[in-house]
Amino acid sequence: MNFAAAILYAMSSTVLLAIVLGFLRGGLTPGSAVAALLVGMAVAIFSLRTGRKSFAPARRPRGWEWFAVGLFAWFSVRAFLWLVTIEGDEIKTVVWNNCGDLSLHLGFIRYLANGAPFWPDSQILAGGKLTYSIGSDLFNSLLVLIGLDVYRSLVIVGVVCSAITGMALWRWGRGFTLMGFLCNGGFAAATLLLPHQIAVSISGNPVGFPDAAAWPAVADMQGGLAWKSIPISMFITQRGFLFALPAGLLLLCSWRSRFFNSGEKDEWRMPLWGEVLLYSAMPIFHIHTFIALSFMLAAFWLARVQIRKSIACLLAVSFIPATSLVYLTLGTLKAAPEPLVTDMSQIEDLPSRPSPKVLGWKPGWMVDDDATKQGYSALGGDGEGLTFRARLGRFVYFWVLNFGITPLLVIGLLVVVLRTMFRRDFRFRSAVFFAAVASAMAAAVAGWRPYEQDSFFAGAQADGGIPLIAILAAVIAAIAVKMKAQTLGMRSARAGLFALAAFLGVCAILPAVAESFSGVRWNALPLLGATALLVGLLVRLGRDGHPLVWPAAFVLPALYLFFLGCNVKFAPWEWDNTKILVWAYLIVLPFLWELVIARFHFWTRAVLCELLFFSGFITLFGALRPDMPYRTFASRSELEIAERALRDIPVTEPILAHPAHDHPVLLSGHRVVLGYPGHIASHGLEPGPHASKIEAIMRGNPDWRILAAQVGAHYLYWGRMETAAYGGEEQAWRFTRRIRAGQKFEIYDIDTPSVPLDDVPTE
Amino acid sequence: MQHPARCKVQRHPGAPMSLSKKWLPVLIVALAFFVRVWALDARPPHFDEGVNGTFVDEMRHHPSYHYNPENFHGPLHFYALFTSTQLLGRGVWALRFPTVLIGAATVAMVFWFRRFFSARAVLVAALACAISPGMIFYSRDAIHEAWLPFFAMLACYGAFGILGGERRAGDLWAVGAGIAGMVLTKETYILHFAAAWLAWLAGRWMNPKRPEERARPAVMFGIQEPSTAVETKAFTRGDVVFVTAICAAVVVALYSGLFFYWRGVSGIFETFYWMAIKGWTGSEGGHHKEFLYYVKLLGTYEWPALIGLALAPVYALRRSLMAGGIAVVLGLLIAVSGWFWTAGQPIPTHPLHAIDPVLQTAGVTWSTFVSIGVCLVVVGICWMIAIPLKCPRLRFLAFYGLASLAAYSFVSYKTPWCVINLLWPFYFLLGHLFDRVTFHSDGRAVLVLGGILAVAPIADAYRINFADPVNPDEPYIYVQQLRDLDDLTKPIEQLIADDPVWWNLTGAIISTSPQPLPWELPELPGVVLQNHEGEITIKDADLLLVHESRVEEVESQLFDVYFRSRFRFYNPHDEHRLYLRAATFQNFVKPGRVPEFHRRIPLDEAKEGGER
Repeated sequence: MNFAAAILYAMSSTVLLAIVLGFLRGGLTPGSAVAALLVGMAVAIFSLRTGRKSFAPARRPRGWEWFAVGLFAWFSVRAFLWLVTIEGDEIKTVVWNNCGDLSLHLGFIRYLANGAPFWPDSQILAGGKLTYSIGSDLFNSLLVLIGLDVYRSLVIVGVVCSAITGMALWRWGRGFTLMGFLCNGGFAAATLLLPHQIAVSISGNPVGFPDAAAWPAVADMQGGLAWKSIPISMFITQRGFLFALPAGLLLLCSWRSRFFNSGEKDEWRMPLWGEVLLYSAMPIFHIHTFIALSFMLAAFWLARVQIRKSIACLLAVSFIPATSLVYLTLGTLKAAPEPLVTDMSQIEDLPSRPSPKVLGWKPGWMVDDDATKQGYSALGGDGEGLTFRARLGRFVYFWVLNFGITPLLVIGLLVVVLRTMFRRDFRFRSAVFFAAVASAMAAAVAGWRPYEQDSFFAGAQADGGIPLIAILAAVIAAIAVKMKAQTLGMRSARAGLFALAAFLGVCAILPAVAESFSGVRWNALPLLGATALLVGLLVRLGRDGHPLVWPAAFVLPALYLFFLGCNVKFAPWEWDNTKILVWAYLIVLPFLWELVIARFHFWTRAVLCELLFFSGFITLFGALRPDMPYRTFASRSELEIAERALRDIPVTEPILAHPAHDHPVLLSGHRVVLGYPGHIASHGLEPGPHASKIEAIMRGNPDWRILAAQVGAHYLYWGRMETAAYGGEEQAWRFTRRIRAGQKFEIYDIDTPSVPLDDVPTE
Repeated sequence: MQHPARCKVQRHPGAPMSLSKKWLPVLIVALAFFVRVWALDARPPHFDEGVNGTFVDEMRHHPSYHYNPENFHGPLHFYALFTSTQLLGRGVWALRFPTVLIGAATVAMVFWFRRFFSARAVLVAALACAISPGMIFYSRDAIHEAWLPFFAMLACYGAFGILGGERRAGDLWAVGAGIAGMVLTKETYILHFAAAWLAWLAGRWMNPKRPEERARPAVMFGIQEPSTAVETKAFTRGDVVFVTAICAAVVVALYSGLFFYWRGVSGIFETFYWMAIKGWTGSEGGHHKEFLYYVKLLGTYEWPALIGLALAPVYALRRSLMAGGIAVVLGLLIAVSGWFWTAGQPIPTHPLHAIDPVLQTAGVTWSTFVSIGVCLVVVGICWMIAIPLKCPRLRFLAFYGLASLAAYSFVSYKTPWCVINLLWPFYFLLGHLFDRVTFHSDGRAVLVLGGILAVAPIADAYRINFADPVNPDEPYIYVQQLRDLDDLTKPIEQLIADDPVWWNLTGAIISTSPQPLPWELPELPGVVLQNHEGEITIKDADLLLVHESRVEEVESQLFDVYFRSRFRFYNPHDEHRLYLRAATFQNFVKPGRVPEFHRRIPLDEAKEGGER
């Protein structure tokens, strides 16, 4: 494990130093790349020398765990060794939904390697600063700068980091966690048993499936769902995870050992400087992981009094570098373009630069998205309905399809953890009762749906939801009254039940008073309640201080984090919340095994694992099956021609080109006025204004010069994509100076008048 | 002074390892790696490298290797090549790098045997392995062969440990991985299995120890110094089952194309049928060679191994005048009979012509009998003067080396690279001889003698690997693409470097056996391959490579101006013509060169560009 940690130290220190050198020298250079990589190697060697033989090696796999290890090895090799292949003139990738992401990363890598001045301007939106966790891409660009082929660098970093991730997952939770990572999912694979049309409606038509008519078949069954396959949809596509996942897991392992002294035979911890290095560097590699880890640290701070000094020390040392990197990752708070002054009246009160719209309120996560509605309708449910029954049905459908039996097992885990917390007097019967109540409450709250303000109580009133909640509240209150509360734990439990009954009671009577409080954000109540509950439980945990209850310090915050992700969106596209949810899931997995599943008989365990992982396994295997055709995302000759043609144009200049993720200008590491709108929107920025201007310029509108000046463009690229999108050859800008031309492209300096064609160098 | 007739000489038990013992292995392995990796891509791709590279290219698009028992070897090598080319980039260097690694690892593995043999013997064996012309040459070649000695040695190492009575789990894994690796590498593993089995039987039969001492394999391979045995947790029967299951699963996984091509699994067995067809019948007659081919190769290049070969029967057999005499007489009889019948071949009425068809089917000629007879005579003499070793492992290696050599020699289909499977057991025997002689005489003199003996292989290694690696007169350089390839690939590389639009250049290769060109040029989608007997569809193009037999026809259809030159693949007598369109390549040929082909201006046939 020290070896894995050493590689991560090397990556993080290399990237941090490269950023410093980038600022000092105005951009990355081969010299600074060599220096940064050498320092990274030195850090790795130092860590290996100081850390060797200090801890017991990880335990060997046993029995079925070999299957998990083998599956991970197969996945790593298949996913990353085949990440980029070149067939004739076509550059291809194996995972279809990687096309857009890989293009983005390829563009960033080449952009940084081309010497973009630090902190770089956005490559995909003129006028703004780069807002992205570019750590992995920056590391790749350093490898490119020292002469490694860019595609090889992607493959090598992918394979190495994937291997490290496997080791980290193993260290964090052994075989079950490995399987959980590889095969997360619910019952999506069950659609294989359904008729064709229904299956397509539920899972979506899997992209790239060789024969659409033959679908459904073994393929990426979760591609159209909210809870997609983690390895396929996140680990392969998001290069930041290649560092963030192993680094985050190793930090959690280290914290588990350092803060809670968990008593594991093979426990391992990294030196404090190592923790500081990885934690501080995390924002530049993956900001969502940084958020999740920071949240866990805060929870640990509450849950254990003895470790507060250590955590404070860690945070204090990391504060300045981490904050600086967060600032950079957010584009130095200048991610959006400066707004234009459109009339003189604004001179007195200049419009301020808009902020990226990243955070948002999204209760219910994706339970109401179109895919869920469509799938539920296909099964005969009322997909669009607002009635209590329709919502409840959609809720159950969404959670069962996406997560299968995981929520049930997690409730069981919660019961076990709480039972351990209140171990002296919290009886098992009470625990089961609590689990039943929690399940009923979750379903009731989902059906009651305070999540949609505009149709607040109409559905519930019409369909009898409110009476049900009222009855539930009464039953819970009655049980609480009947409880014998002789000890502190029992009194706490009774208080909790009273609180729950009161909460449900309030929910039941709210419709009557809702009209009077129309400004109140009622749908925040569950989250507020959960927050209060978490803080209370963690404080209780901190006061208790019993060594046996340490799992609660991981499980409770992780579950809360998941709930938080189901209510607040941490990215413009709600699906991106999985970047947070995945951490909650991974943190819980080892405890789910140790505290719940491992207690059952072998065959029960086998059945549970089958139910948990079958769908994810089918998805993983299906997405990477050998007969899945590859997808071309670039043409090699076109890319090389563009690179050569753009060589003399400064890397700082945004170029007018068609906004596409696989545009050769982008892939060759140059800025464009507007990149792929999907990427820009996913960064919380607004692509619309620039898109309309590009359209107008490309079509040669009379005011194209003004529009070009507004977006700050001096060059225009006209190639295959532009011809297809805008056609015609009578655009007014063609009378400007053509500085490069080839068989399939032209580049214009739109600020300069044209010169005789004889002077045009031909590629 | 009494020399202990044991596997390992313990001169100073418990003494710390000297500096030379510590660093010499590192230096030898480093030397082995260096000579294998230096100027790795200087030699053009070999015919088989082209074939292997084409399979690897197919794996890019169909990510599993579809094993075909009829034509090609096991799948492991292809997965290794694929990994290398994906990580290091597509090219000859990356294609050859896995075998470089495994070649250096083979040298490193020799040092593992310090557990069983003396440090000096192992050192000499490793050095011989490191500088062997064949081991170097074929470790620099992206063919299967380099893997086989590595895995054979690994299996042998584990078996020595287990049969010696130690029940280390590591030994069990070594045996499992070694056997699985051999099965995954090449179907000739069956010859090694047979040789090992025969060697083991012969070792039991000719054990010089008392009968009660050779009752069990554990005694036969017994550790001579029990005190030196490392105490580790012994493996159980469950471990044996587990290791077997894992190794079998790996074999099945790779042969079945990672579970997507199950026909490949049955191919594990089918391959022996095709091996028999190719090995003994005349289906690929071009590769059929004489019985003593490998011995001659040892004599040409591998002196250290030849010494080991000479020692093998002397060290292995139990001295017996009678048995030796019988062998000599029998050998003489066979040799004379063979000579007599060979001499009678030109006589059509010779009575033994009746059995000629039988011999032809078996791929045997009467001259083979002469060779077998001579071998028997030599073995018989050795039997009479034998000095059998008491070290059972060395005797096993001696028998194993002889049996392997015999097995490979009996197969008519012979290629020179197979020789590296035969060398390593003899290196250990050489090492033992060196150790024994040093023990009994002046070490410095032996060192000087060894140095002198090493000159020949070093010179050979330099010549065939670095000085002239495409010389078709060298027996090791076999089916090797000649330097003519550069006339084609270099201008294309320069052309594309000048303007990437030439990735789309057009062309045709009209040849029977164009490897390694299909691998060299697959990234040019506009270049097509055509059988030289088929209809020619392409006319003018940027490049044309035409078999001699179709030159006239092709030239009659050309209208453009071309640089024309002779081109040969691996056979100097298999002529082709290379046409490079003058308009395309004018800046990338030798300055001042005038196009040699113009439809309307017939040129003197002798005036060919690029004549060598």
